[in-house]
Amino acid sequence: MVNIEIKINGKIKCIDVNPRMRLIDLLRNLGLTSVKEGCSEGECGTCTVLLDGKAVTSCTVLAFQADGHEVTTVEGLQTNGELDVIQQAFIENDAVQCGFCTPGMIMAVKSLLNENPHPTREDIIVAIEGNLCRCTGYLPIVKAVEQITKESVDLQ
Amino acid sequence: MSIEAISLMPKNKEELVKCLSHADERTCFAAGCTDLIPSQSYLKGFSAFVDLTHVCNMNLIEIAEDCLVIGATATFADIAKNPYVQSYANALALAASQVGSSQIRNRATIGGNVANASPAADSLPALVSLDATAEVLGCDESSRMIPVMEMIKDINVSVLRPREVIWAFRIPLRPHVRSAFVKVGGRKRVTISRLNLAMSVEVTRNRLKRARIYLGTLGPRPLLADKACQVCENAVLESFPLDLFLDALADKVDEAIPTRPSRAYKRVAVRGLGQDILNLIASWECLH
Repeated sequence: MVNIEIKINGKIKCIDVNPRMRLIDLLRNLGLTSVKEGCSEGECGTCTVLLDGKAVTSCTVLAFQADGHEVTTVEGLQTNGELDVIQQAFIENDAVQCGFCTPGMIMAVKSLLNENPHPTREDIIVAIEGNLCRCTGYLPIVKAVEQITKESVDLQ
Repeated sequence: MSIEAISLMPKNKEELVKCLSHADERTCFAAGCTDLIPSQSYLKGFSAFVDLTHVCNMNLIEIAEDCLVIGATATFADIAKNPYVQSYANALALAASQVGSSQIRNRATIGGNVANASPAADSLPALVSLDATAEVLGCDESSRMIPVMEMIKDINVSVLRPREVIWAFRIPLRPHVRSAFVKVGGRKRVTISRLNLAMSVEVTRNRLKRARIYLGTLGPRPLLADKACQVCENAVLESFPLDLFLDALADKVDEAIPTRPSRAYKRVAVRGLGQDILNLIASWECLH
């Protein structure tokens, strides 16, 4: 076992992990079930979380590699019971149908907006290219992100 | 002493060397893990995993003397957007930008891509076309320099010994060099290359010299498109013998995979890739 210190959704945790354990398994064992297991090989994006603010597929990261790093899941986006703007925009634009891809999709968008608060449509498409959705046809998701971008420009 | 007792997370080169000296054939030195975890070898199991992502300075991208140095744990996301790579090794920047999805590019490393030695690896033809050398670190802190082409022994087999890791890649800075990379896969993006093509060439007053053109996916190693290089020698961009160039590429595909069912598709696809890569080379000044 390896002892790691990891900040998950703002809280520091010291945990013993098996060196073979994947980050997705650690997070789900901790009750963070927004992190879904899909393809298990980094193709579908449904297990996407933020590692130090950047989107990664948690099924292709070993848990102990997150030692000293910060992990954010959808559970960590709410503040004082208020949804994040991305979650709100997804609701308003009907960007959720079955919902299985939604947490991963939201985290991929969060990573994009962390790096580039004013993405173009092309930037948005590239950011979510690793997230498969079989319900929405992607357009409502792109629209939701464009709404966030537009609102942030309007605020300025 | 077992390797677990030494460190599973070396923090610097000295600690890494210590780990290397205690490693055996069942020790896995891992960074991005994007190829490792989905593979069978992860399931079969190694006796220990050593994480390379915590080793400081192993992901640096910098200019040192007359080389562009790219640390082995630099991610494809870092490489794709690095201004030095875009200026001096654009083929590699373009290859890095087309690896997997944004999530994969945020984790996958150039060292892992080369060590994994996949025939479809996008970084390999780019690195080889740029004359890159791998700096391989051994357990006695010594380094051996290996041309990237010679890093590949066979399909998914590199020349790395059990107590060695790739520390960095060195790409010589050559004046007037333009380079590019193109690929075709089953879909437009997030796709494994069915065929890829990298080219570097010196361009002075629109005249081409010393072209290095490599095709990927046709064998264990990138394949030098020698006749296409000859067509480029001394050619002028405005009157470039395009048909001869594309024919030479298609002939190379025929020669490399005469009996493979994909030959018919790839000999046509390579012509499209050839046109695309020349457009990128010709429009270099507009793009940079």
